[in-house]
Amino acid sequence: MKKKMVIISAMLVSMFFTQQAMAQGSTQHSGQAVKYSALAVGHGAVGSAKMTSAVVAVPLLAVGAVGAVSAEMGKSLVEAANDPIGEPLKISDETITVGPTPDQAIR
Amino acid sequence: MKTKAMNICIGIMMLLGMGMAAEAGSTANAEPQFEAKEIVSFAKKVEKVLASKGARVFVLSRVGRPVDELPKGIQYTHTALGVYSMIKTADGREIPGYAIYNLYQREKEPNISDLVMDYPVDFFGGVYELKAGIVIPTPELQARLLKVIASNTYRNLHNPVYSVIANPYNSKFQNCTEYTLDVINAAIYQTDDVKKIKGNTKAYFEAQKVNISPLRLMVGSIFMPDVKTSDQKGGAKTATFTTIAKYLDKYDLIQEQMVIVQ
Repeated sequence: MKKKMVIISAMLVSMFFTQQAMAQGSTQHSGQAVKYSALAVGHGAVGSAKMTSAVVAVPLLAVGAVGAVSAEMGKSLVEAANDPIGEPLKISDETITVGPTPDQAIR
Repeated sequence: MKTKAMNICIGIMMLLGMGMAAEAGSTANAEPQFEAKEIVSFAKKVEKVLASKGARVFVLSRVGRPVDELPKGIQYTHTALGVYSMIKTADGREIPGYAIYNLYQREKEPNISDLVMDYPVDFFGGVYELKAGIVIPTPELQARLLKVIASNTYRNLHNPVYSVIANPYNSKFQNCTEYTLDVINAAIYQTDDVKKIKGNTKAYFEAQKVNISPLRLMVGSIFMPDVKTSDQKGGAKTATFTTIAKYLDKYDLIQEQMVIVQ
């Protein structure tokens, strides 16, 4: 009986592990480890490795930015917002990341 | 004796299962699978390719699990929308770049999701392959998507009750791909009416059959809070990046689709 239970358990564990393949697909990949690692090796490691924390991001519509901060946009971004969709867009060489998590920020 | 043995077995399963989940590679504190410089370089490459094509909004996917562990028919594990944005930095500057609009499972409550904005390097931080599946919608659909993303509809379409194999034809549970599809259909039909969105999804969208045996799904639904089957009928189906791409392609709503690899 005990042996039977062990076999059943092993089968269930096996199925359970396979099931894990479906899991965790949408959880947040933290950029923190990447960020701190990149910072540790310095900006010279990669041409575009300068890391910058973002405070907010506002979508740029073809008719202008959406949101309260639109009035604060620089001229080049206003121009970019008004370009027809499909025109090549400017992109910064800086690497933007979310800010550190609260527990990391308070250290 | 039988009960005691069963309890031990379940205990072992749960312990092992928890350990496995913690190692699943997509948690907030997971070790990246690649060198930081590789992830940074790849994320910037993705941004630059999309900017060169003038993409304001695109559908983006990643591989967050080892490929050999993915069920048949599933090529990517997470899908989100990328949006060309004005990014205000912590030091007060404004720079152009892409923000990624995600539905993420909570790390400690995987059956609950949140809407989270991050950036390409965050998005690819824990991937198992430096590979991005991308669909750039037509300019008209991009413009409509921007309007939805900037409106309350974007948040109102979120159902925080998460199932990794959520059925996209109803609103009982939601996962990242179903949410992305809901936002896309809200844009296509210019509506915030979930019944209308689901009605059109049933009529025109073909979901991916989940190629996992019913027994495994049953065991998963017992032991994993983010695996639910009560929204499924006649074989589990879910939305995937690939089925969203096929759907948009079928109705001529794609400007360009591509796979970017390092």
